[in-house]
Parts: sequence; structure tokens; C-alpha cells
Amino acid sequence: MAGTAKSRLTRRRTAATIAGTGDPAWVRWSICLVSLAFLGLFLAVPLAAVFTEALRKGVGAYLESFQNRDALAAIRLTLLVAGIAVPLNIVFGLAASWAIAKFEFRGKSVLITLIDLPFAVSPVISGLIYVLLFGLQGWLGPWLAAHHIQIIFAVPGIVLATIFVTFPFVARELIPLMQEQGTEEEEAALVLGASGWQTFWRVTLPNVKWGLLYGVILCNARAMGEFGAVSVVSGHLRGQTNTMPLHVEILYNEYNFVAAFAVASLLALLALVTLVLKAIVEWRTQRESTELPASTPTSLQEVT
Amino acid sequence: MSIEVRNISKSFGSFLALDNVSLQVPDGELVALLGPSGSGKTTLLRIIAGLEAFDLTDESAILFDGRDVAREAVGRRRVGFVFQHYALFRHMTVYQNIAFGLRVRTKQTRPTKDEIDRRVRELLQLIQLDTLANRYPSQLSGGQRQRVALARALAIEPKVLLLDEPFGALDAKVRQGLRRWLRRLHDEIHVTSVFVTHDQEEALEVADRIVVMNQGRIEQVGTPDEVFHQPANAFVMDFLGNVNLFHGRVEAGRAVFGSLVIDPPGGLQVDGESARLLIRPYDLEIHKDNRGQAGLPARITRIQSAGPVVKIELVGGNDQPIYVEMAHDRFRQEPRAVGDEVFVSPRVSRLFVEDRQDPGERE
Repeated sequence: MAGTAKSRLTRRRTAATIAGTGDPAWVRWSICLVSLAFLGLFLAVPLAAVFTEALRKGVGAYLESFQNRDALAAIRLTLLVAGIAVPLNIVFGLAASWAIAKFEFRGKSVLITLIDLPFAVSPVISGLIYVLLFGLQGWLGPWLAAHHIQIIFAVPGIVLATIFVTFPFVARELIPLMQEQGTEEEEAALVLGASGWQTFWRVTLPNVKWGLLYGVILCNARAMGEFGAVSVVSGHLRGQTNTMPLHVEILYNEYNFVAAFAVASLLALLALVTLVLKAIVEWRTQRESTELPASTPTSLQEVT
Repeated sequence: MSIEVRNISKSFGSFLALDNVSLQVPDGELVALLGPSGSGKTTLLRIIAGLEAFDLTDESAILFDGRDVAREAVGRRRVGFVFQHYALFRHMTVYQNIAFGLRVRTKQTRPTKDEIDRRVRELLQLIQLDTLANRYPSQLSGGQRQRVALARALAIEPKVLLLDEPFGALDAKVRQGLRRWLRRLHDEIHVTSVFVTHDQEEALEVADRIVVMNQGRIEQVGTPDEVFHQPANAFVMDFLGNVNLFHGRVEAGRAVFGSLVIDPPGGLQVDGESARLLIRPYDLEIHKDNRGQAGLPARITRIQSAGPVVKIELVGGNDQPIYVEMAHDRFRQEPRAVGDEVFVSPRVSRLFVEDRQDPGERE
């Protein structure tokens, strides 16, 4: 009720802003032009270039690029890595944001800072840390070698690096959402006799489902597209430890432009799909949060 | 089911929210916890529900029908709790919200599907929202939401109903309707109920008994008539309605407030102590002349005659503001105007010396 009143107020204020303090036409136009030029130069043109280069020798050559065994292996590995990293990060993100938003404990701010760490650290460093830990010369290297466990220059290393780089996405999306929703609904569920588990599945999770999906989409995009950290730990073994971004680089360095851009176009497509999904989710969330009450209470007229 | 709270204290860091509070609520009563914000009333309510922990001591206990539930989990206490901001499950329909408490039960204790449906329909009728069963909370008005919250709490057939500022977030008109509705509902279902409010009018109108709280302590417990007409101390009197407050001193067994002298039967034994005189605005009379009575001289600064009574603001000696309320009939008989120099004298007043109430009521 109060929310609706507020949104009406803001709407009215926006209208006043346009009427009273609008900028002259030439300012508005030049700002628009600058941003459009920027978007075109840095987003539209490269995107077009990717597809043009990929299709330069025709659709046949384009499709043939995917017949290559190494290319297929790279695609499979990328899907595998994302398939492991994303679910794990969903669990981690939910657990962390649940703990941060719903409970008070010592060290909470430290935890929040730690969650942001992958954003603050260069991906290359993130990869390097795993080499230092698990590499042959690393802290755990000799022990791992003795037990014939290979992490670096193998799939486990790639998965670990990807998880590290992508773990803020889900948590970062959920923490503010859960904090805003507060704990009253959970308390209500508990008073009504629900167990903690029931409360989580029936109240907390449904309330954040769109935020969660949004986080998952971003997390997935990054997991599939990550280059730096994965490059350090992968070892670039063709057909074995090359993900799609790494494979693109190799092909490009071999002057195999059509194949390189063909694989790159897959990643670009992923980005486009991600953007569309993101827009849909955003639209859904917004619609849900601004739904107006069906019958307008009398107080609204007094407030506005 | 009766509720008894024994020696409960609660501190948040160094702040003492509840200071050794004890309270008994007899079976079937509707009790109001009334107090200003920060008086600890919501904390007490949440402690009874089990949503808040209290400072555990050997003497502290929370008894439902004589059984200590202090260590029992929230969900097992079978309390219905209505939150100030409703706390409805936003992704569930009205129907699903009400059914929630029944659906989460374990297989052995869960009613059958038909039984749940019957119960929810019954409650929907009780709150007069049967046509809105498939709406989401965001599609309801504040008053409707509050009724859904109440139905949801009643669905589990609670032994105790606890309401936290149930009408606090509603506008005046809706609030009044819902208040009467709650009173009627309680007369029908007779579940022991405790509700928190900071609105004295609400407490006086709805409750069987009122618990007046202040700074983590209970100041007085009594029926609305008792707390209103025989306030235990100056705080209670001040909180339950508007009052004029006069500061004075005890001299030779009498309390002196400027030209106004209160001479209680038996006299006062505390010479030199400061005294406070509290007078309700409708217990003050305005006279044109002093007529030999000990009245206070004052000047009328404002007259507001729109409303159920005529409200007159005056200024006495030392710029003391004085508020008087009188019936329209009376005002028509003796019309006054802004700027009139008049005398004000009390019909009934209450004298408090050193915050202890003296039987100083004067008629």
C-alpha cells in the first residue's frame, strides 16, 4: 500500500522534472548520439565482425568447423565445467546469502568482503593461486603426485578456477534481495509450525527465485566465457584441457580464422541468449514487485 | 488457555528492554499491551510467542496453562501470531496462505485434503473474503491483508493469539472498522489473545484488560475503566489521554500551584516536595470571574469548534499552555472569544506527589 503511494509520488515528480528542468534539445540529442556511437563501435561492430568472419567462406565451411574433434572436445569441456561450477555456486550462493541476510553473527562483514574477492582479483592471479597450491612445485603438489591425482593441467583445475571466478554472481544477486525481504515471512512460517527446511523450500526460496535465476544466468555466462584463470591452469592440451575460449585463441594463433570465429560465434550467441534471458527475468521481477493492489484503498487518495 | 509470564528480563547489549516483568492473562481474555515505543511491549509479545530469547534465570518462566513452555520451539507452542506488516507469503494466494499452517504438518498430524479445504473455506467466510481466495497479497488492500494474516494464524487452531500492532499500518477509518470486527470475533471464538498497541483509544475500545508498559516495566494492569479513571501514577494518566500538567510544591500540608491550591483531606505529610497536578481537558471549567474560587488566570489563544467537542487553548501564568474541552451546548451558553481574560478551575484533578499517587482526587 505504502509502496504504491510512493511509486505514484515518484511518477509525479518525474513528470515535474521533465516539465520544469528539462535540458535543451541539442544537449539531449548529442548525449544520445555519443552513447549510440559508443555502443555501435564497441558492441555492434565487433559482433557483426565475428559473424562475418565466421561465415566468410560460406555456411559449409562454418559448419565444418564444428566437425573438428578438438572443437567438439572444447565445447563438451566447456559444458562440463559450467555444469559443475554453476550448481555448486547455486548451493554456495544460497547458503551464503541466507546466512548473511537472515542471521547476525560475528565476522559477517569479513564474509561479505570475501565474497567480493574474485571481482577484485585479476583472473590470472586466481589461476596462478591454484598452480601454486596444486602444481607440481606447489604446496600440495608432491602429495598429490604421490597419490596420482592431477589437478593442474587437467579438468579438476579448470573446474576449481571457474568456480572461484564465478562464485560472487549468485550470492551478490541474492544478498540484497534477501536483506530487503527481511525475516518476517520466515518467522511467520516457523510460528505456523513449519520446520526450518520447510521454511526454506516453501518461503525463502520461492521469494528469491527470480533473483536466483538472474544470478545463475550471469554465473553461467561467465563460467563458459572465462579465459584468464582457466588459461593459467589448463596447460592448453588440445582435445583435452581446452575450453571454448582457449580453443578460439589457439585457432586464431594458427591463422585458422574461419574456425576461430565459428567457435567465437557460439560464445557470442551464448552472450546474446544470456542478454535476452536476463531481460526477461528483469521484466518478470519488475512486474512482480510493482503489481498494483486491485482495489485502491481510500488512504491512497489522502496520501497523494 | 491462560498465559503466565514470570520474572522475564531481556537486554539488548546494555539496553534493558524488559525489567523483571510478570504478568497473568486469564483464559479467554483479550488483553492489550499498551505503551510508547521502546516500552518493551513488542519484545514481551515476541518472547511469549517464542520468537525472541530472554535472559534465562532460575525464576523466569513462561507458562501456558501452568506448563512451562520457555524451552519449547516456536512451532510447538501452537500460538497464532499476527505481524504488524502482515508478513503474508507474497508468492502464495490468499487460500494458500491460510492453508500453509495445516499443509506443513507431518503426515500423522496433517488433516486430509478435504478437511484442509473445509477449514480454509470456513476461515475465508469468517474474514469475509471468500471471493478473493485466489488473489495474491499484493492485490489486496491493507485491511484485507490484515484479515488474511489473522485467518492464517487462526487456521492452526491456536491456543493463544498474539497480535503485534495489528492495526498500526492501516488508515484511521479502516482501523476503526477492523477494531470492532476483532472485538466481535473474539467474543465469538474466545481464544486467549494479547495484542500490542501504542494507541490508547484502541486499547480502551477493544481490550478486556489493559497492561500499561513504560521503559521495560509494567506500570498498571486493569480494566479500561480502572486504568482510565484510577491511574496508578502520573505516567499512566498522561499516556491514557490528554492531560494538563501543572508543577507545584507542597506547603503546610497543601499542594500549591500558583493561585490554585489543592487541600486533600488529611493533608500531605511531605512539605517541600514537588507536586504535580494532572487535569483532563474536559475536567477544566472556564469562568469569567474568579467568584472567590482559587482559579488560574489565563488568556484564550485559540478556539477550535469543528469536531465533537469545542477545544480551547489558553495561556496561563509563566506561559503555561492550558487545554480545555467543553461540550458544544455549554459553549453556546457561554460563548468565549480569542483574547478573553478568564479563570480556569478544575472540577476533577489528580495530585501526584513524588510520583506516588495520593488519594488526592477532588470533585
